[in-house]
Amino acid sequence: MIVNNEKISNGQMFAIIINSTIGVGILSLPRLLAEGMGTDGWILVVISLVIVILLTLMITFTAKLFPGKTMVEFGRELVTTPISDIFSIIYFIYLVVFAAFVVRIFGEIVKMYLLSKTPIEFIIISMLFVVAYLSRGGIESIAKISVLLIPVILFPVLFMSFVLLPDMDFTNILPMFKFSIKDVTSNIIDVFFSFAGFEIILFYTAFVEKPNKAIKYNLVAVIIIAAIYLIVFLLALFTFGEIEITHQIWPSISLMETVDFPGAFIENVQGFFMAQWTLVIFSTLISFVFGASLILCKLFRANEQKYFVLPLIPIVYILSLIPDNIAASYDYVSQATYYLGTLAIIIIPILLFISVIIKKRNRKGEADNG
Amino acid sequence: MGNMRKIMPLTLILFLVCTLLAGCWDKSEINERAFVTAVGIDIYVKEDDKDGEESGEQDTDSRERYILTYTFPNIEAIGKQGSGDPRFVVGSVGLSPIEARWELRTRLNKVMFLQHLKALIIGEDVARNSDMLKEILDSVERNYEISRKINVLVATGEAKDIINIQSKFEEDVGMYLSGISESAGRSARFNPLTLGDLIISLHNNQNALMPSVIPGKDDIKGAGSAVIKNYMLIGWLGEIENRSAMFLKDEIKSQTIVMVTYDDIVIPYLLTESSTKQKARVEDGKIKVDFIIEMEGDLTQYKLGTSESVLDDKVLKKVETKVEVHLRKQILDMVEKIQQDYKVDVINVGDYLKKFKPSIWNTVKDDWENEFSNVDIDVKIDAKIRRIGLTK
Amino acid sequence: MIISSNITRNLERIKEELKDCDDVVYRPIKVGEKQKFNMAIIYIDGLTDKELISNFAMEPLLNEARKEKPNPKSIKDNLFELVEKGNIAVTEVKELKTLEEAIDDVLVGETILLVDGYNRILMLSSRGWPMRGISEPQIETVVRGPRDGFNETVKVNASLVRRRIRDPKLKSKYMQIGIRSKTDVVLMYIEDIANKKLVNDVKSKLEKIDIDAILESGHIQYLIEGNRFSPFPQAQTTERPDLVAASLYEGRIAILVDNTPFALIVPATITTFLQSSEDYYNRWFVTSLVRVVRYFAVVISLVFPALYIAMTSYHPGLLPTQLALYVAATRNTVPFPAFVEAFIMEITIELLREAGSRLSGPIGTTIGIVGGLVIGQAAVEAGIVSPLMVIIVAVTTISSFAIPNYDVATGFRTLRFFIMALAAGLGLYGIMLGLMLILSHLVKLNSFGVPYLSPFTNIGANLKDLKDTFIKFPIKDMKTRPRFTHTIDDTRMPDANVQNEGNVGDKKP
Repeated sequence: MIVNNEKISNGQMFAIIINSTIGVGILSLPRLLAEGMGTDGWILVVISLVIVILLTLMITFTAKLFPGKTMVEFGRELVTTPISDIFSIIYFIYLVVFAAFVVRIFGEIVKMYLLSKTPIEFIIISMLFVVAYLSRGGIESIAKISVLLIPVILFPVLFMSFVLLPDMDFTNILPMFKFSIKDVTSNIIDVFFSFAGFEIILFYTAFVEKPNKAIKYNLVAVIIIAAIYLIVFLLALFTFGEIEITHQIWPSISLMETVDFPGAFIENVQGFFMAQWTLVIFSTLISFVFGASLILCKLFRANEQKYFVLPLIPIVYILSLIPDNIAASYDYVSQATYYLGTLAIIIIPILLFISVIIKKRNRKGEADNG
Repeated sequence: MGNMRKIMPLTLILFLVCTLLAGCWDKSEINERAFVTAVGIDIYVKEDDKDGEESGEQDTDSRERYILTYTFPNIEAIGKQGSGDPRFVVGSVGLSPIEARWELRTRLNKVMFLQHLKALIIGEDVARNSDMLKEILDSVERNYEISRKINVLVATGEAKDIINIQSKFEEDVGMYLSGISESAGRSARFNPLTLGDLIISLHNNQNALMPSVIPGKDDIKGAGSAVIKNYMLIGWLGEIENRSAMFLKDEIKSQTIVMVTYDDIVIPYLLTESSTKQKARVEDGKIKVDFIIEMEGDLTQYKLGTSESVLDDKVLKKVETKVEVHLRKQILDMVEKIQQDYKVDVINVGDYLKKFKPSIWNTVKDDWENEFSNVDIDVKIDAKIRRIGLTK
Repeated sequence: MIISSNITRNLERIKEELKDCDDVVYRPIKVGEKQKFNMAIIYIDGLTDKELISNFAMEPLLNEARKEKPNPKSIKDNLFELVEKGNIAVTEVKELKTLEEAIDDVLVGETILLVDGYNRILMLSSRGWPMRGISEPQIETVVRGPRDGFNETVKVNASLVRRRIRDPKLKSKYMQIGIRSKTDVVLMYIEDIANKKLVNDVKSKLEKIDIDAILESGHIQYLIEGNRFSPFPQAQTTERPDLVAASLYEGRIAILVDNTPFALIVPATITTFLQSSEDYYNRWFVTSLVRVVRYFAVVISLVFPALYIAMTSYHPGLLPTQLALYVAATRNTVPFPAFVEAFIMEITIELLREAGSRLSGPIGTTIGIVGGLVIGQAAVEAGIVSPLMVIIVAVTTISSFAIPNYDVATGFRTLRFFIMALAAGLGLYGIMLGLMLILSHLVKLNSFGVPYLSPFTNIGANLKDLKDTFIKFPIKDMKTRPRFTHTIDDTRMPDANVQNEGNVGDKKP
């Protein structure tokens, strides 16, 4: 009645972007950065941020020209239907593969830290079940939960910063600026893909109530994501030093372990962080699964998005179990991100943007001539 | 599709039932676990096996094997109605610490639980063997159960002796050791090291200063440290030497006492604050590193019946000078030992150069082991006495 | 059925319809100087205020009418009007068109007056029956605040609300719901505050109800709620008129139902369930602390026993060492696994609670003491449960009672079994799954169009609503009405209200 109108606000979009992006990447990010550029790893984050901002501007600009339409629909207007449908399918595959990856890594970590004997299939399927339940609720449910879960992401990061402060060695960042350009170019791709998630703007802007103001919110969201990544990297760097970070598969989790409450509950903190992190992954997964079901729905020009959710679950499940072990998981994902990711995050948005510019010029040209 | 509404709750219930009936893979009651609080690792020598710890078949038999000693509290002895031995000690042999632990399953009716481990004690023999040390530390680091905050110690002699101590202060060895680490760490004659710090130090420089413990008759003394170079124990630093090293590493906590004699009066100087800075430069082709230590402290004891009063700035300044001279000599003695005898940079000179003077570091980093001996190290101390207690 | 002019025929038909209803009283009277006019009064003994009828209906008709010297012609023609407008001193009268209406009114407690020769029936309002006096509600007591609570008569309840909102814009719409029960239901709202769509929505939902009997507001709640399967109520129930009035001021709508002191307030969000009237009468700082305690209580009542199960069976590594050892020691004697122990204790507490609520007074208190203390103690000493379990169960139960609204507390209490089961299967991860499921459900839940979890679900628009959730801001800062009700008129207090700024002793500017 009052609010069931499939519209979300800019603030909620902001929350969705942050939630979709911060997921498993944040756990291994410090290692990636340290492996790539040592103490100067933070520069990679900054450079990635710049690229992401550019892409966000492009995407938001494109999307807000077509209020109420997802990329599936306005793509057809911009680049003709067959090409646009191929784009949509690429996005669909990308989202599904990414979701499978996220849930697999999540399962591995839960298995390692919380439930070592439980079969990973069970962990994955139970998480997917809850994700499906929520995704059937439409964009509004996704939006509301994302807002609810924002503090769950932000507070632990801030909290860790304060608690780890006494044990941090700020000199660990030295020596600075000893990198070469080659270091940057060979590592920037991996780091850049930690920001994957913001491309959902292409689809969710359709639901935003006031898309004109969207740019401001989206940019702030992306900047906050970068800030969080920076903080986590710096925390790890100051606590462990650049060499040690490279030895840990997930330095962020080891950071959680190092948190030491003076006095009570020394061991407890790690469990609490694990629990909190489950919610973070949940927020990432719902965005991807919902996005994929949305694409299917719009591709088939159906009315109800929620029926497309359940069929996706077995697909994601099976995909997530393909890699044999954790190293293979990361391998598969690098492959997927290099091809699919580049297409989905970089190439397609740029193409769409270019076609928008061309169309605008044409229209202006016609108006001038006519 | 009203069916959907019914399907969801049904699936939910099915799911719950499956979880409960088929699941609980990880469930294990809390009182069926053995909360291991301390582990000791030694090299297994067959003749010493009085307790018959070796049992069962072993997979391969050419290499040296480990003997691990575990201690865990006796649950039944806790609480008001507790009775029986307050703790258990068991040992087990294996080619790797993991094998030894798993072997215990054939003998123990409880599940070994390592998440509450407090202390890891490495026997001297093991520490002197760099391969073994590397293996052990990797297995511990890789293990998700063992927290990075446990204390790692080196035993002078066998770790087994440490674990077997029945101390009158605290029954559980693990708690005892972590307690000692905390209190002895204040005195700077012993520096508690967590697993995390140890690994960082080893990964960075392949060397470390590990705290050492000495077994007494019914207590354990934490004193001095073991010098680890290239993953191998090569020597010890005594208590005073350890303190000097702590000074140079800027890890002095308060409560350290430096004893000086002034005019035949023994004066304990109680440190409240201390900070150390390094400065490095190249002079005549040699690297010169200066350590500048600034400290503040209290004067805690004088002598009744002396003519001089302590409430006199000139007297205090004289005492300060005594402290400075005394301490400087101790520190320089230690520096000589590590430079000439051990040739290992445990005082983080290399670290400093790497961070602050990368140009100098680049010239020496390839052969730092030897270059370190050529560094000209000097120590300048500025000690201040701030408070003298209640009386003149 | 059409009313006939012949009074005898009417009486016959009425008696036929009301056959075997021996509590209906038929009082034929003869009115007029010469007692020429036949009239009859029908009412139900027990539902009517007999004094009213005797003094103000019968008396004028029988006695006073005799004194009048009527003009025969005018009487004959206008007897009915004369009677209706002239003689009867009853304050509320109505003319009825059909016999069904007349019978319905009798059944409701009105008195009907039949006049021979006329095919019209007069209804005299005479409802009155023994009712419970205004007393403090049992489960919504406050330390500070009014102590009047609703009783079972809807007119009384509506008047209690009207006393607090003396505004002509307070609308009270009467409806009769229930084919046989014809229960009086009053819809109350403030016209220029409440959102019109909301009002219409509620109205139409009420009108669509097609059931034979409404016995309590619970029936209505069940029939107009959006999601019947949810463990959470989507309407707030209360016995307190001050709460109803405050809600109406916020732009919400109240539904008062006859025969029950429990009124419904819609829409309801999770924050409204965690507020009590006292919050608004006490100082804001204290209230904020209390609010935080309540939110905490919600979490504890949901998750505490499950945490125990998860920690002891799955993750003892997460407990501090001393605690873990202690728990292990106390559980050593217990023959069951942790979750069986937890289930047994929780079910026992539920049994005790159920038993205690059947009986009130001294028996109920005894059961509480006997059950709680003695059985718990004995169980611990017999070694069947560990003392820690008893403490946990007790704390959980108490915290569920710290939640102001009983319905929602029950919802959480029921869910704790579900989460305990998940914890028993999958440890801490199971608890998180359960929480995510519940959170997802709450996010999808709507109460009459308002998202259940407002104001936590939006950044920006509803931020002002946060002023009344965890922390309650002082009244001066709450200048606008809550956003979640989408009210027409936003302002409670105009901004330029500075006359209360200073204190008496301040210097004048």
